[in-house]
Amino acid sequence: MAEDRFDLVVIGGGPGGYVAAIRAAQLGLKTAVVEKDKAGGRCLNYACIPAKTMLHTAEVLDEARNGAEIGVKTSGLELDWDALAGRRTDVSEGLESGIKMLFDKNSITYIEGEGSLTADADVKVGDTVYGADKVILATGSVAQPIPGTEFSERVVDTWGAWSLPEQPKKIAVAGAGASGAEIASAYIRYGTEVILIEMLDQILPADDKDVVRVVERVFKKQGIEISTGTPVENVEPGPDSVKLTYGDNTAEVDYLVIAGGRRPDVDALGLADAGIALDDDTGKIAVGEDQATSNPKVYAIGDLTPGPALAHKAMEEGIVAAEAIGGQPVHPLDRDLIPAGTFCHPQVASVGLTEAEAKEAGLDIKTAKFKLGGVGAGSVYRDRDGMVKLVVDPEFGEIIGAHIVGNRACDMIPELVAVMALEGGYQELARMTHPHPTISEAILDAARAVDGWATHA
Amino acid sequence: MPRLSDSMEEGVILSWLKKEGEAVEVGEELVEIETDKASMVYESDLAGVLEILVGEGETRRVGEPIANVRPDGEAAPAPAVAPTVEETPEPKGGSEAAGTEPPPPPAYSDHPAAEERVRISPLAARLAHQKGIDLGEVEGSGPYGRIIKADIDRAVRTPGPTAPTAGSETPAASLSGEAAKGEVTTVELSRIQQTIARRMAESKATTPHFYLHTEVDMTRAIEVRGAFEAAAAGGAAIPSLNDMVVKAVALALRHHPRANSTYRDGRIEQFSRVNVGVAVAAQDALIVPVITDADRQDLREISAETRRLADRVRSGEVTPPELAGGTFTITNLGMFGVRSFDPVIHGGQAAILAVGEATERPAVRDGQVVAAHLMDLSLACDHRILYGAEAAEFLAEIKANLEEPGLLA
Repeated sequence: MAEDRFDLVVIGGGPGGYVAAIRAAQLGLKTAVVEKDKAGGRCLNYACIPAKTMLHTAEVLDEARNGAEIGVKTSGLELDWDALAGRRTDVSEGLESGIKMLFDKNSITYIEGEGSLTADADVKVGDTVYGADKVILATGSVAQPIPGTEFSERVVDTWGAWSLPEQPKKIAVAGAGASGAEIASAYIRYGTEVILIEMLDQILPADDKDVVRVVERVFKKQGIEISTGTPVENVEPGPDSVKLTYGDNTAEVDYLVIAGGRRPDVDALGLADAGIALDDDTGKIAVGEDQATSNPKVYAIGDLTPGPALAHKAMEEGIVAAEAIGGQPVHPLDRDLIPAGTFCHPQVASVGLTEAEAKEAGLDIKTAKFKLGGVGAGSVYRDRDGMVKLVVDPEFGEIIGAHIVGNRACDMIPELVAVMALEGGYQELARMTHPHPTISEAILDAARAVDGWATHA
Repeated sequence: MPRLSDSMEEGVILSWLKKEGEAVEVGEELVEIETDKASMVYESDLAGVLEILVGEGETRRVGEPIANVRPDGEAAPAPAVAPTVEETPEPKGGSEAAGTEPPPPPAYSDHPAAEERVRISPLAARLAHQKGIDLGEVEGSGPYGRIIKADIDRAVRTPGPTAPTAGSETPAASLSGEAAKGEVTTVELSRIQQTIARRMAESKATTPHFYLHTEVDMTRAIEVRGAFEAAAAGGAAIPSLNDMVVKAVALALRHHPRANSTYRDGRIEQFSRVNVGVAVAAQDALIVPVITDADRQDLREISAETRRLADRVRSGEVTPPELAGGTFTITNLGMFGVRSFDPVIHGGQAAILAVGEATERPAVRDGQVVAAHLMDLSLACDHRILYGAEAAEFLAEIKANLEEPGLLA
């Protein structure tokens, strides 16, 4: 039975879904969001936000621990696990209620339950069918165990890692992408022993080698045991610990964290019945540049669609889809300019191609690197290990890729996104006044370094 | 240049309704602009002193500056078009300027286009410079017409209109050609005529047209019009035969959603509303005002609306909203004594109906030749959307609606 009818029903209230719903409401569409768990989705409740809350505590703890050299003496410094867990929950709950407030403010109907498509591509939640002129699918992705393992009390996914009941003595992290590196980086600073295991031949496999080398050096200095080129095998969970092998090594740890891949959360959606085709290469939902699927009534965004599984990609795709549905001119997402950030210590952030990717693409490139220790702020803020690396086209000056490693890398990368999006070259970047003393001056000098005139080199 | 309609890409400054240096209030009529659809008066949304940047007769793309309206007493900002005016602009208080003689006309009209600031990304500028691209020939696809890398790449691949085109033949050939045709007078097309030319050529070249013809017996329709005439109080609108065609088409469109649609990117978009455009001849232009929700209006309403719109088209007052949103078009040359004609599909729609003159002709009824008022209809269809049988059913319903006009009122 058809209850209410909406111009747009968004299935999934995560970062892609809520942003799409708000934009649609701004454009005057009668909009509903269907969410089976919590407003804000996994990003806000189980992934990005709780992870960053946990990492912030690790950062403060580490600064305090090493406070003596900057004149901060501490005694009896300890980590209060329950207080940390409490704050993690408070931050997420606060933001979740903020999302609900935004729904109210924009007159968006919030429907709790699991949404699926009917054959007519209306939306069914429980026994109720909601008529929809258009539907946006935004159900995100779920963690996937690595082959030969399954999740259990001792074998946990990333959310399991961020919500352990007590501080573990020793953990192993399988998968050294962004999530795995963040978990390893937080726990080593909490005082837990950490083994970080990566099947590929470098940690942060998607990042530029020069940048990764800096992270690897800091990780080892902090005490993380890194193993690359070694798959995790022979996982044997016991009641209090879990045994595993990686390469020729064996280990017994309190928890094994699997931070491997994610897969689209599509099981409940009923894609086949609604005539929605998948992308041949990725197996994700195929979409056009307006995010429309093969069923013109249905749009898909975020982790359901090809491309990196990143909250900010989902958010911007949500805007594109909502505006297309609202009859606005379509501004397709520039997929070459989606930045990536890893919030380990030091942070890694990038946009565009790595040096290796650019060479593989056959581009004639030039690179320039500049260490954060070269500018004054690097010393002031104890951020000397980091680096800015630019990959540029030497003939026309186009910035092909930018890579930053440092304590504030993720807050610095948007400058490069802006310059690249506006088609500034490194020559323009090299002549933009940067405030002093800030770490951002390293970007200025990196741009100057392309033509060999970095000031502080 | 404000965007005055959805499809507007550029506009021509027809006349400034305020003088340079004059005080302008919010909501005051500022400038008359000709768009692809109509000429319109634009009202100021700022208060202050007017500084004109673009002279009358000049064209600007949407988003390009055409004037500054400076709040009273504020120093002149760096103008978007570098002025070559010798005298330094005197400070102009709003009220003072309003009462004084306007300053001598500024030198804007003498500006060569090359002195205009070009919106271009640094990367695109470098590419253009090194590859020797003339920026005057490049259309920017970025925000506000900004030229970006992709535009230069495109210009490199396809040499611009600077290269000789097929039209410019060798001098000898063109001489002899011109000589044979006598003296040639070149007629510049107005903005609207240019747009019509482009859209008509596009439609005919890209839309596979096919045509259906039928003859409608209008005898009863003419009786109905007579009844309206007899019943009409002084001045009330009497529906014309064309108004009945509008209504007959609107009702038929409701049952044939395919005819009320457009073809876009390999898909058909069907519209839920029935908005019938009626082509009206205006000064040297073809304008199609739209009767919105024609299927839900009665004959008198349609009649009044058609008359109002036609008047506004002829007086040049019609506004873009009145020309937008059409889902089907009717064109009628009956008043010129045309019996039948095959039109060009308009506005990406599925079909267009051409209406001829209703004249008394011999008709055969029950085996007898009798005189009847017959009218020819010609339906041009986009074959990507409509197929023969479906189009024929649609046309048959229009015919039936007109022959049984009791259904129309």
